[in-house]
Amino acid sequence: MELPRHYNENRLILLVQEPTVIFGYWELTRGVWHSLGEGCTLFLRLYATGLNQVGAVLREVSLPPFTSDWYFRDVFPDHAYQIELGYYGPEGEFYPLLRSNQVITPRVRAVEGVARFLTVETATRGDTAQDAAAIPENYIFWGVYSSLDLMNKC
Amino acid sequence: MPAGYLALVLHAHLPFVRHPEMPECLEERWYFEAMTECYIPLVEVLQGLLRDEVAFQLTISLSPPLLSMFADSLLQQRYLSHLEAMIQLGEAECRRTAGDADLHPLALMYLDRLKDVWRAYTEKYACNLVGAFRALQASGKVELITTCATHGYLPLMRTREARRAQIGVAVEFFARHFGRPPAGFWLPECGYTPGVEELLKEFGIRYFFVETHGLLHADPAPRYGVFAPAGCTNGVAVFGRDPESSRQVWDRQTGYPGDYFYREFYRDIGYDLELDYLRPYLPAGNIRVDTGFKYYRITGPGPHKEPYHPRLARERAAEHAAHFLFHRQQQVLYHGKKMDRPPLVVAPYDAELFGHWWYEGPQWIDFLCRKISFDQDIIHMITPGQYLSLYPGLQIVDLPMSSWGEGGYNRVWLNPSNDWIYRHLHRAETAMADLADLHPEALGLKRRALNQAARELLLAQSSDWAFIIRTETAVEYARKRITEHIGRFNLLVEQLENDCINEKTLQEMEYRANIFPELDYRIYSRHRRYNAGCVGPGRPLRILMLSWEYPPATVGGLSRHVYDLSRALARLGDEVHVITCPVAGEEPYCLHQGVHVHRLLPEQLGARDFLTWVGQLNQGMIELTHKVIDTWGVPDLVHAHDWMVGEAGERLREDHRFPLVATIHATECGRNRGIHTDLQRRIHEREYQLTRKAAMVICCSNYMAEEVTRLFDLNAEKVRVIPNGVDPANLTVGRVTEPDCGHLYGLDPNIVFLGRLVPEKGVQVLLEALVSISERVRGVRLLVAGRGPYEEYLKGLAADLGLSSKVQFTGFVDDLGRNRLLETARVAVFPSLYEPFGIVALEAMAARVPVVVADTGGLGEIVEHGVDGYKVPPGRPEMLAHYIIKLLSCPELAVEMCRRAWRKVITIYDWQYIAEQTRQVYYHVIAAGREARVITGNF
Repeated sequence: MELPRHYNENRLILLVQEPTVIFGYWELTRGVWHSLGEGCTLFLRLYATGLNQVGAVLREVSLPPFTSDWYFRDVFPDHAYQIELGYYGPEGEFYPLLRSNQVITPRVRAVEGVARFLTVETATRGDTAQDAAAIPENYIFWGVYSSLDLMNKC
Repeated sequence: MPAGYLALVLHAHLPFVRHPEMPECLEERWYFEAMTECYIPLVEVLQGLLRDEVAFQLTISLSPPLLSMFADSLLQQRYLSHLEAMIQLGEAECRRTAGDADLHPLALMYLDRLKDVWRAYTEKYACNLVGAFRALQASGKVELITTCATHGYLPLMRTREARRAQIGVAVEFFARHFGRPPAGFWLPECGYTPGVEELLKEFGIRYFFVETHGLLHADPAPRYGVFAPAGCTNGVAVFGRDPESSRQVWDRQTGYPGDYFYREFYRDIGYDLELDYLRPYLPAGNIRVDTGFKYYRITGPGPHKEPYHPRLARERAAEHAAHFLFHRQQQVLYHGKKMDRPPLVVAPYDAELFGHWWYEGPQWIDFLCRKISFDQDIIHMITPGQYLSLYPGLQIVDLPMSSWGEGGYNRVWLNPSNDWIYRHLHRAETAMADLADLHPEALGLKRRALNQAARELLLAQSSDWAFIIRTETAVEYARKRITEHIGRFNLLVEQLENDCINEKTLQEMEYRANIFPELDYRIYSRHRRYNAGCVGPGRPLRILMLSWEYPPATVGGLSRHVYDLSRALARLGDEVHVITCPVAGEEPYCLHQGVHVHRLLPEQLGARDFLTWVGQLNQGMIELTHKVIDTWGVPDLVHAHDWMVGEAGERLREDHRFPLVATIHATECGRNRGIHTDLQRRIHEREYQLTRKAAMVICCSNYMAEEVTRLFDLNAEKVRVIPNGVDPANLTVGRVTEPDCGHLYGLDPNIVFLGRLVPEKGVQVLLEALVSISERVRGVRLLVAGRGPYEEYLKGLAADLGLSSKVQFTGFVDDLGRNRLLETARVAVFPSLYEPFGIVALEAMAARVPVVVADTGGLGEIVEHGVDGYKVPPGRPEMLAHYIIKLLSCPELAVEMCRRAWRKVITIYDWQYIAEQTRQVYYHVIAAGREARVITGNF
């Protein structure tokens, strides 16, 4: 048994590998390839996005032929990203063929904020939320462990 | 009261490896070895603790594949044969080592242990460890939980449906084996990604675990760090792994298992002795493997190894248990000073570490539990469930993605060695959800094929395959497993699509992958929810639907929406009463397509002033409702559509305590780009009132939900997005041919626009685009259907652009006219500048016409760019032209898009699904209303 080389679908999927690396892969249908014609160079664009709005282009990669996936390294933790696969028209306009899902890279440090407590039995209704005012003074972070060196479990 | 608690959590999992098609299989030995060295010794230790009345508490996660293997008769039989062969090897070893003062006692020890295991397995456990774990659970000392169905790694799955199935199948499977659902859930590899807690809650799970940084990096940082559970916003509790206790057990250099007196794992006679001697005990007679006969201790970092001394190793295990306990005591004493509750140390480990890699591990657990129970009172053992019962107050946090793999995120399961698997897995996820939605009630062979497809997908998703490929251990086997499961899945999809299921092949697949015999493929449906109160069809409801217009009166999309929704609810068995305006020729009451339609009398609505008229409308609706209640009984809830009927909805809610649901189709502020007049202000206030008073607000797009939440300052939890549906049958009336994507090839290059002629619909942009389209596409024609105040301007613009001969304004079209128009269209274009939902685009998709839409509002949410249509930023004629030309000049592309769009229409926008989602909201408000009443009753 062998895996199919492609599924004749149009898709561009973005995944988080780790806080600073995201991975995208794609596939185009025969119809799209035919509509592009011979020798068309495809580009991958990386966008920082928020609230589903496509923001500024952060990077653009001219894809070597036969590429079907890409790692973007050195992106920022705790940021929203999206990528586009497309090409340039004769007048210099960028035409996206596909737009990926949005991913959010995980944050890598503790966040300060107001503590809010809830009692689990009634948590679904949210009616027992105590306010932070009721919480004792010295608010300490417990990030005493550098977690990054702890994860080598094998 | 102790100063703190320790929750020892063992996660037991092996991939489902069972090959009935082969007489023996190398990889089945993973399970056999773990049985002999790990699972049976662990169970024996725990039974000893029970026997000696040790006060211990342990949490054990048992993966569904492992449980399946425990209970599988073929593997039971094969394990016995394996055990018997190992006993023979033990006897041979005793003969071979006779006279060797160092090795002979060890050979004897192994032989004795093997015989003990054999006796326990056959006599005590009747060859099935599930019963042994059931007894441990019944003792109250062990809390059993489970993990994903096949240990699928959740952060790298694409769809919520795939995650739901991994969790739901596991919970149901567990409940079948242990008589109750698990309280907690082990996320495979501690892999958390936002949203998982929603699915856990759906299946009644109360808690799960994350890696240390997964909790410490929460927003806000948890006040008690990992020493107390936190809560997700939905109330599901999360426990963070304690790093210090992990390190002491896991760490290769400084951890206990590396002690020089412990047994060396890597010196096994399977590699050290002559092949001829070993042959009878090796797979295929010639593959060298671990036999478990390991005679040396770790000794030191170099290659020189001393013989193993069980007594010395046992002493070390006792010392390590004491060391571990001492440090936990220090930890809870130190941290307890700053906490308002006793700290909890959560120490989770892979169960296979104990006994297999760390031979003395089970002894260590034995010593540890006994010491905690008898030697001290500072720290007690506890399970997460018990801790939550004692200390239910949780700090609410937002968790980031995390895992316990190397690097702390997804690198182990996604890197250049294994990234290729996701394009297959993700495609299968979507295909499976489509199948579940396309075959909601399959029976017989089809049902079997769908269930098997779900099984193959689940098995392909095991995190083990990606892990093995990455660690370069049994790469070929892992590749083969993924390839085979995906291959079989694809074959089943193809057979289901072509309706030609091959029973023989299916039978073979069922025989090979017999896991989850009770699996129901419908768990993959996008439209099912399994949480309490929503299982199955639910009890029929009596619904009062308030809408100012209802067919045959149709001014906007509202009438159509209420009509389709009401009919779909009636089909689900609900009793729907629509209260609406009079229409000439319609009776004050009629039962139409299962929906009770009650109309006001024309004389009730005499006012000329708009707002007075609206007041009469609402007053009339209230009066009419009272009559309806007298005849039909009290409704379960009132559903009001838009502000025009808001007052009636609010009054009925206040006077009768009916739960009120409101659908906001569009807002006055959105329609007018702000509030400019006094009338607009009053309408805006009515909208505000209605959304405040309603228990839940429904919007048809994320765009509208955002707008409504912002404008009326609502709690986001109160607003639900349920899209509009489309009924494809409505689009076939009046056509000459049945809609078919393939027909596109034969049509003239007609572009169709449907909609009101107002500036925000953007026809002017389309006209500009048409200039360059007509230069590139011969014979192109634009048909503009609709009327409105902008019509004359648009006609003038067309003339100015020299397009008069290419543009035809058809005026207003009814449903039939729309259908005929769509029948002639090669592409439908909706270039709106503002659009709350954009039902016309959905209708074009249902009529199998490819669409190009402006990426705005709800319209942008319907189309996935480049997949089932094209999206262009609003107001960009040159881009609009580009994509229209693409579709006109490349029919193959147009057909592909149109096929995908059609699939989307029938799997997502079917009214039946929309009605079911709406019902979820109804059940929710009814349940909430009941609770609110109970609370009020108490005061």
